[in-house]
Amino acid sequence: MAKELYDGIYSSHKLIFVEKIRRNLEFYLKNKVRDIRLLGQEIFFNTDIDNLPEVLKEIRKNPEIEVDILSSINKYISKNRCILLINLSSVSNNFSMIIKASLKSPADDTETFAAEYNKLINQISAVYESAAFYLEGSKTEDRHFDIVLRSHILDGLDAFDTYLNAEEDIITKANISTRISVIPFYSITNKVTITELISKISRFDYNAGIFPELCFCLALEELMQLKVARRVQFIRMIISELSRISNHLSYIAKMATVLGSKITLSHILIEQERALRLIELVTGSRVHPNYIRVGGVRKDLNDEILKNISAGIKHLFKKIPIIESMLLDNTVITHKLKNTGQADRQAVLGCGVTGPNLRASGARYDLRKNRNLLLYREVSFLVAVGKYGDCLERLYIRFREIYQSIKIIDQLIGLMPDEHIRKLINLSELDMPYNKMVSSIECPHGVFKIYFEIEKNVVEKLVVMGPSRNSLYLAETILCGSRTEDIELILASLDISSGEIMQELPI
Amino acid sequence: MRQLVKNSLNLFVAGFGCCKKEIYSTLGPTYDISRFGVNFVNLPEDSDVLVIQGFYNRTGERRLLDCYRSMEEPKWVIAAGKCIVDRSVFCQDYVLTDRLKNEIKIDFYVPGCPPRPEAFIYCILRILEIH
Amino acid sequence: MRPVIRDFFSGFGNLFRKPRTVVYPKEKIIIPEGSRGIPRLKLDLDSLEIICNGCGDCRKVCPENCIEIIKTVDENGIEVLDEFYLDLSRCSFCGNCVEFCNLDAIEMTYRHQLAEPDKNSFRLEKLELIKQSDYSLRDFWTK
Repeated sequence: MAKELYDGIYSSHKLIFVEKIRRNLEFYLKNKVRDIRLLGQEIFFNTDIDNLPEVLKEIRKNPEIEVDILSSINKYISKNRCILLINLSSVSNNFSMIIKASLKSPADDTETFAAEYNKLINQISAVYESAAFYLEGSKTEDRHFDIVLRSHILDGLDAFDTYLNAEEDIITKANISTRISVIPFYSITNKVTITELISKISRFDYNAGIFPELCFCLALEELMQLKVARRVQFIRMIISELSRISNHLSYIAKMATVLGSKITLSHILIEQERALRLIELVTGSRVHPNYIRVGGVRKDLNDEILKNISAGIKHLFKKIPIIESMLLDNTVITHKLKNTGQADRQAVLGCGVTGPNLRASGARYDLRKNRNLLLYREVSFLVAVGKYGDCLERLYIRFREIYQSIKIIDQLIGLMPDEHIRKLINLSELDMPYNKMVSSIECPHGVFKIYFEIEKNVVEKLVVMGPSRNSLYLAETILCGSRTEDIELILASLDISSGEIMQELPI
Repeated sequence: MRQLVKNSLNLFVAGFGCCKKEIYSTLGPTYDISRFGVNFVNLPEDSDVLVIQGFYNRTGERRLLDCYRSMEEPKWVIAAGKCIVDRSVFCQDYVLTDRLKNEIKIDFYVPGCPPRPEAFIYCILRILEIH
Repeated sequence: MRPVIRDFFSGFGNLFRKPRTVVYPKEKIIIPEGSRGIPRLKLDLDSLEIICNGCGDCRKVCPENCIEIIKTVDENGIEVLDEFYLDLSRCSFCGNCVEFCNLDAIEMTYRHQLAEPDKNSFRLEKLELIKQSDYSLRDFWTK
């Protein structure tokens, strides 16, 4: 009781720290920024496009806040103006900020617009090197390439083309073009009602469909200052850990396909089917759950479902070590995986990669531990951390994460509070003033982030910042120096989700 | 000739999207699509059935047409998933089957978002005329 | 050497086990409870009439606009449902219509298998939607 009261009165020390940083930034960048504030747990501010390189330089050089990572650059068009969202983060201080700036030239004049955009990106890349990945246009057309790999047939490698320069069998330069995944999707990002958006948003990460929904609902709850019942949070944690298991299993299946281990593949597919069946039992669908609601969940779990889940988890716990030993006790496979696609901690951080790919290189960064995400602080689990950052480590860390997820679900079923879930809110009569919100969540690929603007019950603008684009940029750097036969293996080992790579085609 | 090919169908899955995940899970031991002599191949030249699924833009359409033209007769085309059968989830005005109706003739439509593996196997059975 | 022996025994156990594969057209694949299939219109068990009164809540909440409702006025001057169209080719099986129905007049069956050469045959009328109740028991969906 006392603890709940305390939590209600005082915000966590983490938020106080971020608030302090926000005040510092306001002091440093007094004349250059407007509207600096906290959105959820991130810092958000507007700036003019002329001031942007100076602001970035100031932020980069300041030793106090240590913002050294450019996570993503997203652009969207509103009222014929292109608006940039620059997402910076600091792993050592564990916070992130979003800078909003609008380009000067109108969006329908494509040539001057592209020139201005590329000029700006070049300016940014003088401060943050990884910005060069976001250059648009003729990056791949006018140059000569030795090898061109069109989109692969495997799920995950099918949304981009790889352009390679090679000397004998060593790759010297790699370029990845995501031209094929720039698709029209204006009817999901412009003026959608909340119910419609929740039922459609899981397409952005279809390997683990629960996380985009959860991210959006958490953001709205933060905005409406809703308190969610403990049982609801427990159910959300169970279903998100189940999705994590199924996503990691499909990743391992992908690796087994590339490695040509057919027997292991069929063993994994059985277990993946088991995990998907548990997800279907809870949510009603295998891929697109449409399960999380604002302030609750669609359907309560009864005792029978909980019993089924704990039985399924026990079975997975028995079977996954067998799969692991089949795959990793094989010296042929481990020799192939070892030392291929190696990336050290600094290189991975520089690309802005998060999630298991970052943890495999030795950085302990997990939003489940580092932030107050759901109720993860009430269960005990370890954050799996690797050391070498090669393909073997990346495969190995997925197995470790599956065991930790099983451990979390086992604890959650034991601790499940017996509580009545209240009726859901009627969102059709919601009358909310104009607001912006940012929210992030730890999805199996990394930190999944959503930015949206909302008025009444209509989402005016939605921007999805998936972690897989950073993995693509990492692939560009680690493909250089590796051998041509390992391309498929390295790309598969990064666990790229095609849904997150998709970008909006402006009309 | 069509009857002879049906003993061993080769499938080529084009595009990227959520239906691909479900279609490839039919390879697993639970569903085991290979019982009907169905294989997944990586080259359109080898394939008899083209499965269209997922999200496309203009570049994607061109590649899809290339795949379709390089397939040899007899050939079948399956449109899997809501994005192809009706219109894209992300864009109300983008209807792929209308845009390509002069070039590609679709034999079977499998609705669902995404269709379950059983639904996809049912479609294959309809092609093989077992069910 | 040890992994080889262990793999041998794990494979050896598989000899005395039922096969994992469900021989699909002959056997039934049991779908987990609560799975979302083709929607159906429920009947009132006493009077054998449709519960749906055509209020149109499901049409408003459907993200794909696949429901079409036509209403008429009967002899007592009350608005009743005349025709209920559901276009399965548009449907994404999200289940919003079931969730937002105040009368519980619509339900999802366990039937999934759908493949037709003609796109227009996916448009179901009221009577066809009632007929789907044959498939609501999940063991018999292969019918």
